[in-house]
Amino acid sequence: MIACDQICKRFGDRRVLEDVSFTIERGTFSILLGPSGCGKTLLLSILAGLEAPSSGRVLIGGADMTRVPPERRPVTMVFQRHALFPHLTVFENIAFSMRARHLHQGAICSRVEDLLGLIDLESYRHAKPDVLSGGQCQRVAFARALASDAEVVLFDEPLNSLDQALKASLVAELVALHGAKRFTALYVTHDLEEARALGDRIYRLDGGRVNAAG
Amino acid sequence: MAKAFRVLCVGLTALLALFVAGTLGHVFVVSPTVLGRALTDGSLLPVLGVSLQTSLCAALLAMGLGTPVAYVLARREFRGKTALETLLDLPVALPPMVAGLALLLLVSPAAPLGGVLAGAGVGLIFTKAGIVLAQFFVALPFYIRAVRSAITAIPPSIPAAAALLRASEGYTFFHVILPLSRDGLISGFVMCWARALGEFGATAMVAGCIPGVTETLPVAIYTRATAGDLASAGAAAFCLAVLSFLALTALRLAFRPEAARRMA
Repeated sequence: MIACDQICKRFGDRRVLEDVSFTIERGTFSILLGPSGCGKTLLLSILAGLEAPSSGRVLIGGADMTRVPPERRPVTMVFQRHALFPHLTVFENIAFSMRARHLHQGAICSRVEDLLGLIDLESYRHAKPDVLSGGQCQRVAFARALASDAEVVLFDEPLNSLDQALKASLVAELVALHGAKRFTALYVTHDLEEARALGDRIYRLDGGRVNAAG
Repeated sequence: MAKAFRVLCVGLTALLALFVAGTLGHVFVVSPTVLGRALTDGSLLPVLGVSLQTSLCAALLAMGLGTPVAYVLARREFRGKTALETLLDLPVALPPMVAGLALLLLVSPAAPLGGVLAGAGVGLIFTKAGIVLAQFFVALPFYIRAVRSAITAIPPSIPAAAALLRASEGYTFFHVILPLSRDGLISGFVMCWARALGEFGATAMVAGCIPGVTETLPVAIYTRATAGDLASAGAAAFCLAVLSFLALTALRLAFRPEAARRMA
C-alpha cells in the first residue's frame, strides 16, 4: 500500500500540488490522469523520494517514508525515456538491482532469464540499449523494475513517445505482466484510453488537487 | 556578402594555422645529430625520465583525488559551491611563480605543515615529491573541469534510476557514473598530464634544478637556453613538443569513433 497524506509542493509562491491525499491498495494498478504540466511527474518524484514535499507525508506499507532516500524506499520507477544504462547489456540492466543488493549469482541469472522470457527478449540478452527499438527499451525497463522486488512500481508515461500500434501491444503486455506478478502500480498518463485499458482505479490530478475519477 | 565572410574566415584560419606551425616549426626541426647526441650523452634521458615519472604521478594523484571532487561539484548543490569552484579553478589563473611561492611557504620546514612533514621524514623541497606536488597543484583544475563536465552530461534520470533500483550512492558511482564518464576521465587525465609535463614556474620554485634529480624538461630548456646552449635546449624542447603532440593526437584518435557514432 502507498499513500499520500496532504502532500503540498510549492516553488516560491507557486503551488503545484495542494493537499494531495489518496491511497493505492496493494496489488492494484492505479492511474494518475492529468494534462501535461499539471504536476503528475512531480508527484511521482515525491513518492519515489527524488523530490521532497513542502509539507505532507508519504506512507508506504503504513510507514512514514517522507524523509527516506530513494534507494531505501520499496519503490521503483519506469521513466518516460526508459533511462536504461547505456553501457550495460540488456541482461546487465535487468540484473543491476540484484547485483547492487549482492544477491547470489545463480539466483540473478535464473531471475533475469525468467524476466527475459516474460518480455520475449531472450535473443537480445547481450545487446546494448542503443540497438533496441523504443518499444524494446521500455520492455527491458519493465523487466528491470520488476527485478528490483520493489513493493510499488511507478510508471511515468512510459509509452508516451511510442506509436499507437506499439502502445496498444505494450499496454496488453503490461496488463499480462501485472496479472503474472501482481505488483502495486501507479501509472501516470494524460491518455484516457490508455488509462481505461490499464487501470483498476483512476485518479485525476487537476489544479494541484487529486480527485478519484473512477 | 556571405562569400566575403567565408573568405575572411578561411583566411584567418589559414593565417593562425601558419602562425602556430611557423612558431612550433622551430621546435620540431632539430638537427638529428644534435638530438642524437643529447639522447646518447646521458644529459637528456634522466631529465626525460624525471619529467615522465613526476607528471604521471601528478596526473594519477589528480585522478584519485579529483574524481570524487568533480562528482560532488557536478551532482550536489550546497552553500559556498561557487566559492569552492572558484578556489579550485584559481591555480589556472594564478601565475605559476605565485603558486610555486605559495607551495614553498606551505611546505618549508619553518611552516607548520612543512615542520610536521619534516618531522615525519618527508621532504618536499628540492625533491621529486616536490615536483609532483607543484605539478598536481597547477594541473588539478584541468582534470576536475573535464570530469565535472562529463558527469554533468549524464542525464539526471540515469542516477535516479540507479537509486530507485536500490543501488547505494557508492555502487552507483562505481558502476554507473564512472563508466559513463569514461571519456571525461581519459581526456581529463591526458590534459592534466600534458599540463603537468609542461609545468615550469611552480616546479622551479619548489624543487629547483638539481641535474638528474629535480631537473624536468621545461626547467632544462630554461637553464640550457639561459646558459647559451641553444642546441641542447632545442633537443629538450623537441622531446617536450613531441610528447605533447602525441598526447593530443592519442586523445583525438581515441574519441573520434565515439564522436562519429554519436553523430550518426
